[in-house]
Amino acid sequence: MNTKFPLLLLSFLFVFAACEKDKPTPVVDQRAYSVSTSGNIITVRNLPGDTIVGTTAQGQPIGAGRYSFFSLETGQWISNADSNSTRWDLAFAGTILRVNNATSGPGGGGAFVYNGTFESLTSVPTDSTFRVDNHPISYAITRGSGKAWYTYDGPTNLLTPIPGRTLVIRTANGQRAKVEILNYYRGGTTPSASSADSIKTRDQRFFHFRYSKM
Amino acid sequence: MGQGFKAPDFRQLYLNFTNNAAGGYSVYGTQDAIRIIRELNRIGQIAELKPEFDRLTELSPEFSTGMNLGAEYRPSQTVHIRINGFRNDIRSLIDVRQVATRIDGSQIFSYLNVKRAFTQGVETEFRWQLKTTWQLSGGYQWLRTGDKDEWARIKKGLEYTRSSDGTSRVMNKNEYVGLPNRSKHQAQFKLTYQPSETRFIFLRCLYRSRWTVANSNGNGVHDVQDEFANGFVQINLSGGLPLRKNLQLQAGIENLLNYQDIIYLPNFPGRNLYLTLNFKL
Repeated sequence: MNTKFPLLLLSFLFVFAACEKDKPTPVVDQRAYSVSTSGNIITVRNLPGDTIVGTTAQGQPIGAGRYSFFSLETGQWISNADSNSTRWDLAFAGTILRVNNATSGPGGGGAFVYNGTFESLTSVPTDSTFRVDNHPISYAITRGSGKAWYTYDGPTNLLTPIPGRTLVIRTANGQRAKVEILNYYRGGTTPSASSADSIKTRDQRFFHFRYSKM
Repeated sequence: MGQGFKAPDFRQLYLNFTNNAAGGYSVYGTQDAIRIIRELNRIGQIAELKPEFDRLTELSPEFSTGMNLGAEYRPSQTVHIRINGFRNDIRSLIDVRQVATRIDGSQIFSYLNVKRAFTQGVETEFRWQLKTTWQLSGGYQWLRTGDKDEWARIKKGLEYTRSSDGTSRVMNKNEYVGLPNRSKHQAQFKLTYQPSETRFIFLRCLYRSRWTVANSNGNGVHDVQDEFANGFVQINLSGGLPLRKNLQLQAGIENLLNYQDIIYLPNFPGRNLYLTLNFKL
């Protein structure tokens, strides 16, 4: 007999919860590209960076070589038609990140990697050296597992951004920003090691990052 | 207090061995490991070289300083309890590590030195003679291990991990797991019924808690967010029965629960039943 009481209470709670939800809340697609702002931190989700379109003769997944250009100054994904302009600050294609300068664009961009959390970097030291790209030999943000912002594990075929690495970016117009790469997979969660290769291939190269101007 | 010295042994230096029966994993002695793995890599047999591969070098001998503090307690004739705390400080600890993976997924191990390591913990043991024929015994070990250089970095706040929202933060001290392949908790329990030398039943349970096997979250140390092998329980049961004066039957089951982990315990067999007849002339 006594068991009915919690059940009744539970059903009340359900009604209550349902009332709360009546307020219109924006539907967020966790797998879609989005930009959101909280205070002075801007978070970008699911920005594709040369996503996989097929496989090579050796069976390696490859993209079409299509960069996604992003403006840290305006918070916008810039059209590829504007690649040869100073409208963008950071470009993404798989594990290659490029800044708008030298071999990558006409701007005055640059970058270096800071070892430490996003929050702990409050100002850019005046004696900092910003590096530039020398495509395709070297990049301001060094490519390679364990070098700048990610590690890659061969057997599980998974890429993990390194915690505590903050990218310091000089924008095309010479402003400063700090960027933390959060995740490399669509939806913002790294697939488990045992996931099918088809999932790991399909969902990779979707950038999640947060940044703020300095 | 004790001091120890351990030179690298033959196995660690020279023995190269591949276990084809159990998943094809290999262990290479350090004298040949670099050369063999480079050669395998050149002919395209290596899927991945672990960061540990770059740490392979001439093995140095291991020096350790240990401290032990123990107590024994016998509340009665039939009960025996022992407790022991220990701490070992080890210079150039010789430790087995996975250094590479073959393209078929099988692992390659070798040995390297951890510059400065420690192990510390508590062991307890009890034995209880229930009757003359019944005995119950058990033990438990709590173990903490670590690389002192890693530990120093963690204490200074120089190692990082991620919060649930994906953002980086400084790693907490209690998130450090220490050296790989070591379980924090290990326990065993044994029940014996033995009315005579040839008539017996043994029940033995072993427990080992999870242990870290790979650093998968991108930072430089083993912590709670990394890849772990699952903890497990193994139960062994055996019995003996005299049939005639000179003839004895023995039977048993090893790994009664049939626990298996092909990836992290490649040489750990599944359930194993056996039956033996002993004849004494």
